[in-house]
Amino acid sequence: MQLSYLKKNRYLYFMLIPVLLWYLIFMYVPMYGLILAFQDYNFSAGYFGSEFVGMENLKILLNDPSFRNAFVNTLVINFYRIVFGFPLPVIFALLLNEVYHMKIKKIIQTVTYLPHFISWIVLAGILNSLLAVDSGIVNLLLEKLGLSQINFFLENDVFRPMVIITEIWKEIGWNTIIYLAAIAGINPALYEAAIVDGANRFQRILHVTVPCIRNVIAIMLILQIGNILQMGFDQIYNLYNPAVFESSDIIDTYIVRNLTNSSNLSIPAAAGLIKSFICFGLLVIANYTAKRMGNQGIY
Amino acid sequence: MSLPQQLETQPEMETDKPGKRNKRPKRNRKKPKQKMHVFDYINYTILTILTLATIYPFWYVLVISFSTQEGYYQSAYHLLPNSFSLETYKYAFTNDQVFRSIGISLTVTIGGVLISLVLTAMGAYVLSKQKLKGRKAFFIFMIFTMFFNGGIVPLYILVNSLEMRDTVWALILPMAINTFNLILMMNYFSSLPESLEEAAKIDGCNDFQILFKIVLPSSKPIVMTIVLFYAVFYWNDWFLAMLFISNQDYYPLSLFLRNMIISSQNFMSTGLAIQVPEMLKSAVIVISVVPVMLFYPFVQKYFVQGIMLGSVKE
Repeated sequence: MQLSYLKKNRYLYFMLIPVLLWYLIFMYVPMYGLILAFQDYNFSAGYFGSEFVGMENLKILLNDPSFRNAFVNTLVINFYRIVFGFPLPVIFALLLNEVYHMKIKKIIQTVTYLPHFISWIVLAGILNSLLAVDSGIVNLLLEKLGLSQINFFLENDVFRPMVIITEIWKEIGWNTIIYLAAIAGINPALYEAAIVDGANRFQRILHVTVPCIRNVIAIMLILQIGNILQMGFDQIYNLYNPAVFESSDIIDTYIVRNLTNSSNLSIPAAAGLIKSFICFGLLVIANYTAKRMGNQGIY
Repeated sequence: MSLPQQLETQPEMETDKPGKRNKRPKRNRKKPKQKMHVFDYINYTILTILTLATIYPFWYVLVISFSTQEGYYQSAYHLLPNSFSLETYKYAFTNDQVFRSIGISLTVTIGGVLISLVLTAMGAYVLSKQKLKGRKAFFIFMIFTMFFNGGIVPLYILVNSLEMRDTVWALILPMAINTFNLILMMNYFSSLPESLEEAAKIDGCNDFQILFKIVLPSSKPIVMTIVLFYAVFYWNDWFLAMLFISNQDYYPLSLFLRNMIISSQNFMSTGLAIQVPEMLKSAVIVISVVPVMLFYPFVQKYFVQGIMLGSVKE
């Protein structure tokens, strides 16, 4: 590289310095910090003074039933989340696209996007009230129907479905955005041709709209599968309690709980290390697949 | 992605003509003249139910937050307000801690958005220069963090060893750049016409001036979108606060609310904690939701196009 080139573009490179520094400090230093997963870390000694213990922490972790529980839960919860939560926004987008009153469509969109921007703390507070025994609307309705009340926060059988349903409720509107944009990009001539051929509304949806956005649907699915280990922390951490750990403790909540409650940081760090590596593998595969399909992947 | 052909109009239009004359051409959508079919009635019913189901929980806390003690116990569903009182809000706003935590949240949100926006814009702007030498390496350097990261434990140690504990920096710096936002912005900048910058270069502007005086002001959709994303993140964030703020005086509103909710959860499951009055909890929820609700609809018209244009492959 020539000096004159550098000089000509010096402001661009200057601009990049704070950004690169930020990445270095807050992204790459913690990556290096993962070595503490192989140490018996203590605060005063730091990374350099702590004793290396090899795979000891990983061994402890893999023999810890609560970690294994968290690992399985992460996969199971996110599996259900994808099975039930993935198709709904697509259907919602298709239905929304059939609304011809633009004002109504706009109102529905504004309202259903909203929960995406509300934190899980707020929603946990609201859910606590709505699902409370004796005073929450859900239990009052159950009682009216002659059923017995359910303690949603203490029973493992119902806690997990509750988590999945409320997550779908929160994100269903927001997740339609990408599909609606894809639908808006469909060439109107295709619909006109379909009408000429005598296709009714359902047939137009099934044979024009869906095939045209099939690619986008596939990409979204792949990317979501790639993210399977990263979802759900905010929600579960604010809703769960020891009574439902069995059904809802996930890797992230396991890590944070151990980080805040115990003095041994090496164990949660080892859990983080396992998670990071599996995530990396999944994301690379997901991204590769998405690119193979002629799309850009996550970037 | 190959999505949004229909958006080809935006950036130039926003930039060139600030006057109202240049109204966006009406899209040639089907008119509502169409006759309503059975399908439409079913469809509208489903969508209405979904919309109501989205609103109801928020309406519920709103009603409770304004009700009196007796009013609260008289009604079960809180569909309609049966009493009205500002007592709870009076209590909340005169409570030192609520007041302080709103101040902390505002500080973190405003400061954080400024820092994040500047850093993200600078990174995005440089990376949008396809021909810049070294671009690819910088790009990979940033993108890699989306695939692999150190996780929360080393970050926890880092922030503590930088002595940022119990300062607002701990709430701003660790998540100051969201790489996803940076890429959205980068793609948006790439889609801007080059002529925009060339004119400024001839006038002798340097890259800083071009970015902050020309490129950013003419990228309203993406700037508004990114500001919304960051603002909501900072306003809602409780996680960094939980990890790094131990002094109650520095609690942001979200953490204050969280402690309130956790203690009422514990009350429900164990009966050991102090019960927080339902009205007070609702009032704090309303206080923390209202800014988001007021801000977001204004940005909504931008973010659809901001996101779409941002996700077009360069």
